[in-house]
Amino acid sequence: MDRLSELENQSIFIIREGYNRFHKVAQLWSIGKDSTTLLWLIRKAFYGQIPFPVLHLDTGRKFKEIYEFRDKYAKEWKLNLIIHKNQEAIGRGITCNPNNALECCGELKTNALKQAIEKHKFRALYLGIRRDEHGIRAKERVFSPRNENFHWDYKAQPLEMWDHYKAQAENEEHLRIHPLLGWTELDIWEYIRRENIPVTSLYFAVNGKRYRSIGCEPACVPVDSQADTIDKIIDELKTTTVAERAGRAQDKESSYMMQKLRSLGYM
Amino acid sequence: MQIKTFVLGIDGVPYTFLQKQFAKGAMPNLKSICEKNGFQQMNSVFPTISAVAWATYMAGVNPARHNIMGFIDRIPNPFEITINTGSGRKAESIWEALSKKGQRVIVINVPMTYPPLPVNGILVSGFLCPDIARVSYPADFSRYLQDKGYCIDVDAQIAHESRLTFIQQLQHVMKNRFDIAFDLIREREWDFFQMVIMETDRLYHFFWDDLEDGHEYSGQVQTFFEQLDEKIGILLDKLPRNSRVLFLSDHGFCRLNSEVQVNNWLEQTGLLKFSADGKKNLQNYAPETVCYSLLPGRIFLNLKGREERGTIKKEEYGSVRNYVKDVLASFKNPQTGENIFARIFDREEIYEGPYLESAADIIVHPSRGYDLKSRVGEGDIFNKCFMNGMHTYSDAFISGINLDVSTVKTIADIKNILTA
Amino acid sequence: MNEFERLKFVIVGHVDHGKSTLIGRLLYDTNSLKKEKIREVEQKSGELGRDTEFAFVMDSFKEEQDQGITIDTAQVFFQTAKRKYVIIDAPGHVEFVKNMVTGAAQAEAALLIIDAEEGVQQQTKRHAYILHLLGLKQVIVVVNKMDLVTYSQERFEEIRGEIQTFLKSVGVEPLMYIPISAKNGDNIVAVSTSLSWYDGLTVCDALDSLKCRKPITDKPLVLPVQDVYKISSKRITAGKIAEGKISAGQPIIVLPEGQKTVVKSVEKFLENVTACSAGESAGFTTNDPLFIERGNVVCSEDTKTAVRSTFKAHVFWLAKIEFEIDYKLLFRCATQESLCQIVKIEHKIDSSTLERIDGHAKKLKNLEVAEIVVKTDKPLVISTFNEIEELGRFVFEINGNLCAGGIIIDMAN
Ligand SMILES: Nc1nc2c(ncn2[C@@H]2O[C@H](COP(=O)(O)OP(=O)(O)O)[C@@H](O)[C@H]2O)c(=O)[nH]1
Repeated sequence: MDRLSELENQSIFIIREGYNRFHKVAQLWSIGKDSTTLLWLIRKAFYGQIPFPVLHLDTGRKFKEIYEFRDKYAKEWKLNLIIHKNQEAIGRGITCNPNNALECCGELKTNALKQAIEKHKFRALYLGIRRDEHGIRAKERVFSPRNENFHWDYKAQPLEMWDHYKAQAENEEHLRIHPLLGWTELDIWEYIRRENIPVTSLYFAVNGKRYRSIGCEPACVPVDSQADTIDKIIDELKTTTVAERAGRAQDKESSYMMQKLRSLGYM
Repeated sequence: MQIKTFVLGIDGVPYTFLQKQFAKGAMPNLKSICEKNGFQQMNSVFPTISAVAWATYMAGVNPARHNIMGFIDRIPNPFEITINTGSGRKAESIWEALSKKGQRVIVINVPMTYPPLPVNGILVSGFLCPDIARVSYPADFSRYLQDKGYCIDVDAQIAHESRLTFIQQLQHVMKNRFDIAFDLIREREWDFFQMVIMETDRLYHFFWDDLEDGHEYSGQVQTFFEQLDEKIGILLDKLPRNSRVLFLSDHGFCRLNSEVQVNNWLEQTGLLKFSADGKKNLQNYAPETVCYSLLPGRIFLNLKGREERGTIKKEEYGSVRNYVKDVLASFKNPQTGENIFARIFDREEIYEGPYLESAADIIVHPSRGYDLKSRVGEGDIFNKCFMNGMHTYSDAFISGINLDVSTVKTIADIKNILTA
Repeated sequence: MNEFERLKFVIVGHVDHGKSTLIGRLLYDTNSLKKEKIREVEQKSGELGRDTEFAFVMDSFKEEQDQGITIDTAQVFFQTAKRKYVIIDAPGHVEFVKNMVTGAAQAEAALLIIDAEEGVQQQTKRHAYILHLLGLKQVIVVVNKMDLVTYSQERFEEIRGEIQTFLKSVGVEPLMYIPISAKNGDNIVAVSTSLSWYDGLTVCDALDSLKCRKPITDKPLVLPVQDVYKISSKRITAGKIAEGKISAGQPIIVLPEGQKTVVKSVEKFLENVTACSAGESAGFTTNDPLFIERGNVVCSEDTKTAVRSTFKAHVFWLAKIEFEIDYKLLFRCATQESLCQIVKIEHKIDSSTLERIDGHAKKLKNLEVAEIVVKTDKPLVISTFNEIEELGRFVFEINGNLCAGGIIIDMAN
C-alpha cells in the first residue's frame, strides 16, 4: 500500500474511533487546506453522512474567499455547520490585529471555542494539526486531553499503543483528536491532488504571492511564490523541504559571488 | 565605564613588509605604535586564505570546529561545487559572544560575515555580499551607508582593464571606510568596534612586483600605505585614551612566481581521470579517480560511500592516503628541482573537532612562490598569471595597545584575549 | 527516490547514550533542517558554551533543553536519496518508559544505541526487551561515541559481544552492528575514515536497506468490527482489515458467536469497489440481516483464531499505580473490550537481567514484566501474538487510562 493510502486508511480508522468513543463530537473547520482535507476524510469515513456538526469559529475578519468557499461546500456536502462568533468580544471592539495576535487569537478563537464547547457540550473535537508544523507538535498524541482551561499537560501524556487511544474524557476535560498528525504538508497537497479536493483560491499565487496557510486572517502574510497550480505548489514544497543547504550560497547570489571569486583567481 | 576595544584588521599585510617600511621611516604612526607596544609575527591557518583565516579569527577555533574550509566547497554526492557563506559557520564569533554579554558592537567589512547575522549593534558584512541593500544588520542601516557613498569592495575586474584606475579606487574606498568608521565612533554607542581593510590584499595581489622592484606604480602603491598610515593616526586621536586597540593581518604575502594547477598535475600523474566522453570538469571525473583538488591545496580522496563515484574502500583509506602523500611529495619544479609542496598534512594533524569530516583528506601548503589553483582540463600545470602576489602562512602581524598579545601564536588565539 | 514509501523507525537506548544527537546529525547531514532551525540550535548551544549540540534539534521543549534529557517521544520527518522516513525519538530515562513504548509501538524498525564508553546499561537491556515485546523484527545496533574510545575496534567487539548475548536470550536478532560517533558524524551519512577497520554500512545506508512493513494480504481474513452505520437503507459494518481480504460474495463468520453469512457488497465512499484488503479501513454489507456490533471479529472459515476467556500472556506494567491481583481491569484487544482479572502471576521477569523473580507475587509495579494468566468476563476472539498480531496483543485500562501492554503467548483451555 502506498504512503497516501496508508495515511488515508489510518486517519479514517482514527476518525471512526473518535466518533464511536465520544459521540458528542465536532470537527473544527477553518476552511484551510488541512481542515478541509480532514473534512474530506470524515466524509469518507461516514459515507458522506457526517453524524456530527462541523464547527467554524468566525473572527469576523476573514477573507471573502473563505466565506464563499465555506458556504458553497457546506451546502454541497450537506454539512451540519455551526458558526460561532465571540459576539461579546467583537462587541468590545476586539478585532483581528496582526500587531496583537495574542489578544485577537485568545479572545476570538480560544474563548469562542470555549463558549462553543460549553454550549454544545462537546466531549471531543477533531483538529487537522500535523506533527511537522512546529517543533512542539512533534510530541502530540492522537487522542490528546485538555483540561477546562485548555491546558495541555505534555509532561503527563497518555500511553498510546497499537491503535489503542485514550477513550474517556474525565469530568472537565475534552479530548482533541488528531487524525492528520502523521501527515506532512507535502502529503496534504499530494492527497488534495489525488482526490481532487477543493481548496480556496488564496493558496494559489497571484502576482508572485500566495498564502501558505490561512489560519489567522490579517496576521497571515503571503509568501513569494509563482505556484499558481497544485502541481506547482507540490514542486515548490519538494524543493523547499529538501531544505536549503545551510551555509551555502543560493542560486541567486551564487553567480555574482562566482564572478567575484574568479576575478581574484579563487575559482 | 566599559573600556572600549577597537580592532583594525588589515588584510594580508606581512610582518616583514612592515619591518621594511619602518626601517626606511615610512608609516610613522603605525611604526610608533608597534615600537611602543610590541610587534609580533603571527601564524595564519591552513589553507591560507582569507575566508578561512577570518573565520578562524572570529570563532577562535580551528576549521574543524567552525566548518569554514575555504571560499568554495563541494557537496560530494551528487557532486556539486558550492560557495560558502557566513551562515555556514558553526562556532560563535567574537561579536556574537560579546553581544550576549550585553556589549554593544560595531563590525565592518569582515570577510565571511555575509549574510549579516544579528548582533547587539551594527554589522556591515563584506566581501562577497552581492548587494548593498543586503549588506547590514539591521537591514535599514544600509541606507546610512549608501548616503555616505559606502562601497563594499572594489571590483577586481577593473585591475584587468586599468591598473591605475584600480589603485585609485582602492585608495578611495579605503579612505571612505575609515571616514565612515570615524563618524560611527563619535555618533554611536559602542564597546567593541571591528573593521577590516581589504584593499591591502588586492594591492599585494596585483602590485607586489611594483612594491618590491620599483615598477611603474610603485609610487602610487607607496602613497596608498602613507594614506593608510595617516588614517591610523587619526583613528588613535578619535579613540578614548585608555582604549584597547589591536592591529592585525590575517596572513602574509610573498611574490607569486607561478600558479600551479594542481588538478592538471593530478591528471598527469594518473590520480585524477576523466571519462573519455563529456566535458573535462570535476563534475565529470571518472570512477577510477584516486583524488581531486579544490582550491587551495585541498585534496579529496575518491572515497566509496562518500563521493558520488567513490571507489576507494574505507579499509584502504589509510594506505591510499599515504600513497597519495608520497606522490604529492614527489612533485617538483622540473626546471629547478624545487619541491612544490612545502608541507603535506593529514587533516587530523592540523584540525580537530566535530566538522573534521567536511575537511579535505589531505591539505598541502606550497613552497614560496607557487600559488595553488585548481583549474581542470585546460592549460598547463605551471602558468604565469596576471597577479604577482600570493599568501604566506607564517608572516602575519599583530600589535596591541593596552592588550597583551605576547601569547598569540596563531590567528585562532586572539578571540580568547578579546572576549576574556 | 521511492515516493510511495515512508519507513517509521524508533531510536532507543539508555539515557545520554546519544539518541537525540544521532537524530540531529541524521537531519543535519541529510540537509533536512531549515536554516532557522540550525541557527536556533547553534545559538542555544552557544549560550551554554558548547559545540553545536545536535541533540537540541529534537528537544524542542525548553525544559528538556535545560535539563538535557528527552522527556517525551517525538516524531520528525526526513528523507534520504532512497525514500522518506519518520524518526521516532524515544526518551531513554527510566521515568519515561511509558512514552518510549508509545513511540516504539508505532515503529517498523528500531535502532538500539549504546555508548561505547559506558557500555550496555540497564535501560539498554530494558529497551531491547521492550522491542521484543512489541514484536519488532528489524533491529540495528549502533555503538556511539566511538571518538571517546579512540575508535577502538576491540572496544566495539567487546560491546557487540555483550549485547549480542543478551539480545539472543530475548529472541532479538539484530541485522547489523555499526560503530559511530554521532557528535563527529562518523558513519552517519559519510563513511568514517577513523573507523577504517569497519567495512559495513553507514547508518543512513543501513536504514535504506530496511524493509517497509507490508500489510498481510495473503492470510485468511481478520476484520475487527469498529462500528456499524446506517447509511440510507444500508447497514454498513466498518473496520480496518488486520489480515487478508474481503470481497463481495465471500462467505464469512462473525465471531465470537459464529454466525455465518456472505458478503453482499464492499463499500467505499464515492468509489465502486468489490474488494478491500489488509490495511484498508473498509465497510461491507451482508446477505443476511445479522446483528453485528463493535468488538465482533469478522473472519473466514480458515482463520486460525479461537474464542477464549482464559489465556497466558506477557504483560508490561506501565503505570504509577501498583496493581493488586484481585483488581478488575478493562482488557482491550483490537476493538474488543471486557472486564477481566489477572488470576495468577506465574512469575515476574526483571526486564534488565531477564531473571525470573517473585514466584507467587500478588502485585505488579511500574515497569515490571510478568507472565500472567488472564480471565476475561466475556469470551473473546484471540490468538497468540505469533499467529495473528492484531488478536495477540492487548492493553489494560484502569479508570480510562491505559496502564499496561502485553502479548498472548499461550491460549490454555
Ligand atoms: N564524545 C561524544 N559525545 C556524544 C556523542 N553523541 C552524543 N554525545 C554527547 O552525549 C550527551 C548525551 O547525548 P543525547 O543525544 O542528549 O542523549 P540521549 O539522552 O540519548 O538523547 C550529549 O552531551 C552529547 O553531546 C558522540 O558520538 N561522541
